[in-house]
Amino acid sequence: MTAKGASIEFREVRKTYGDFVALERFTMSVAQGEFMTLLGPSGSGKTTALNSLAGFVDADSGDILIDGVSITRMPTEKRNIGMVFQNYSLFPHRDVLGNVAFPLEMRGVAKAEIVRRSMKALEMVRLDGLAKRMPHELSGGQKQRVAFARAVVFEPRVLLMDEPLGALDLKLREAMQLEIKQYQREIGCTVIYVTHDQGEALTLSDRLAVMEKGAIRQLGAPEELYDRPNSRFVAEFIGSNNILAVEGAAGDDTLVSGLGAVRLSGGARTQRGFVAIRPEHVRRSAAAGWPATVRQAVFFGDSFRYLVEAEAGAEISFVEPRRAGAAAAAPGETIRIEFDEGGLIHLPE
Amino acid sequence: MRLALGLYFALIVAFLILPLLFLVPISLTESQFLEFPPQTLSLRWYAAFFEDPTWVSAALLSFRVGIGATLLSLVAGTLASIALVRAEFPGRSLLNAIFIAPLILPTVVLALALYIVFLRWRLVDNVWALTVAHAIVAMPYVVLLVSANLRRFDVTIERAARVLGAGPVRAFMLVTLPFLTPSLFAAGVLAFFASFDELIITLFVSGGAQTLPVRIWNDLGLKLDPTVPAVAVMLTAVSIVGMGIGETIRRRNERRYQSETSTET
Repeated sequence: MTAKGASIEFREVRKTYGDFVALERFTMSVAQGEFMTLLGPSGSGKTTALNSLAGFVDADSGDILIDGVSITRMPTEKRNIGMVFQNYSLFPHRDVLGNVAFPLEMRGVAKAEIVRRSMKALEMVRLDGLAKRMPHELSGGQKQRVAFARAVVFEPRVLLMDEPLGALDLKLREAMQLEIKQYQREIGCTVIYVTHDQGEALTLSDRLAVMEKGAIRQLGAPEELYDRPNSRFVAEFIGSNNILAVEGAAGDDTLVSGLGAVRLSGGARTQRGFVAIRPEHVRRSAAAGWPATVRQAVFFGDSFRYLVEAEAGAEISFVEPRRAGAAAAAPGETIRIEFDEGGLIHLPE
Repeated sequence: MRLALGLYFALIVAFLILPLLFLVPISLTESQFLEFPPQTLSLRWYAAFFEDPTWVSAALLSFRVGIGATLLSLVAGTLASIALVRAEFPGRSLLNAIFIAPLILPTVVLALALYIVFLRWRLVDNVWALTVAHAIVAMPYVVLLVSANLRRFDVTIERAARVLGAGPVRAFMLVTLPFLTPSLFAAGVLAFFASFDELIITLFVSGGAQTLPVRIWNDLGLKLDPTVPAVAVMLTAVSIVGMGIGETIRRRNERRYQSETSTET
């Protein structure tokens, strides 16, 4: 399969349901062959964006283009898009082969060719041995693989995935993530992936867009969003973060918060907003640093997760890898903490 | 308390099925008259039914009208259900009530109304018009069953068919219709019997043409011989078989869709 991906462009797409605004001036460009994830809580508009690209919902205004051609008025079945749904949505009365063959049948492919290509797609997902099974005889992971094979068997240039792993348990989800990534590399199609699982988004995506209330809050590579969130919403949604409200300034690059005065290596643009510190950027220190009282120490096997209260009142949580011979701090104990250089991020909003 | 409830249950069940059970021995009598218990057993009155051309033609007319009304109500009722379940338009609940109305409206009222219209349009004594009239009575069953089933259908399965290359009609035929098949069958059985044992409207608009219920009705006025219970027993047997097939199909389908609907969010 050598189908190359298509480019996708959303131009100021707007969609409302009564008073509820599902998408508001939604603009996004996806490059050929890119794996783009829409990440956000439920109701943030990510599924509406996907459904308007698939043609299940008509946008109120705006335009959607595939390879520069507007598809806004094109019926769903002409858009030539592959799609994997959260509930698999296999056809219950067709066997595995019948499901995978469906898109080829709709395209009038010759019978022998249908079987050959369907079996090839099933081989890719390692289910060629189960071609004659009915969907209700398959496990969740197998159904998901069939749904994937069915979505790519006709070599679409665009593949949409709507929370495809949402119904699977954690272990299977992690295994399937790696598989999906590998298949996408093999096929080379452009993928738009919708999820509310930030871990999944970080693992799979070339770029990801964090959505809230029908609009993109931040769009970028996973590392960029993780290291440099532009808002409190993004900082809290991706990974975990200690968020401290800014109470004032004590110089150009120093802000006052519940921790006391903190210097920001990147400087502060305003004197409002929040300061974010990732738990992995906080360390216990022997002498220097902020004094803090341990409130909670939770054992995680390979690490301890501490919740401490700084003298100035801020609550900070951090992770400490366990090392042989090192003793854990107990609740009530006073310790000192310090931060990695560049670990403090100023969030203007 | 347990005993009282048990007794109550036995009484209700007896009330429901005992009259039916009486019919079987009565229909098997050798005698000229309705008698219970029968003195000697025979299939004489079953044979009498098939030998009398007026009974046979009445039965054939009933089948003809019944099958026509069933097909008509299935097609129209299914299309109506799609609109009632899927479309958003003003007056939808009113329309829903109108489709169900023949079930609630006194049949005499409907019969009189149809009679007046049919008189004016010269449709009295017209088999096709009678079929349409029966379809009106049968349609509520189709609309009720099919729209209830359609509401349970996971629309993303149809969406999957659409996005993978099927047009709206093709997607419905290939994906939604198989899901609806058991409810269509059940609705078809109900619709058929709604037409098959329809008496009042038929008396008003058939203009003398005899369907099976009309024939039985006329017989009751003149003489009452054991052919009537024989016909009744055969009708009961036919409906039991019909319902049995419907239930089998429904169970098979249930199994297929179970895992799909249980993961629905």
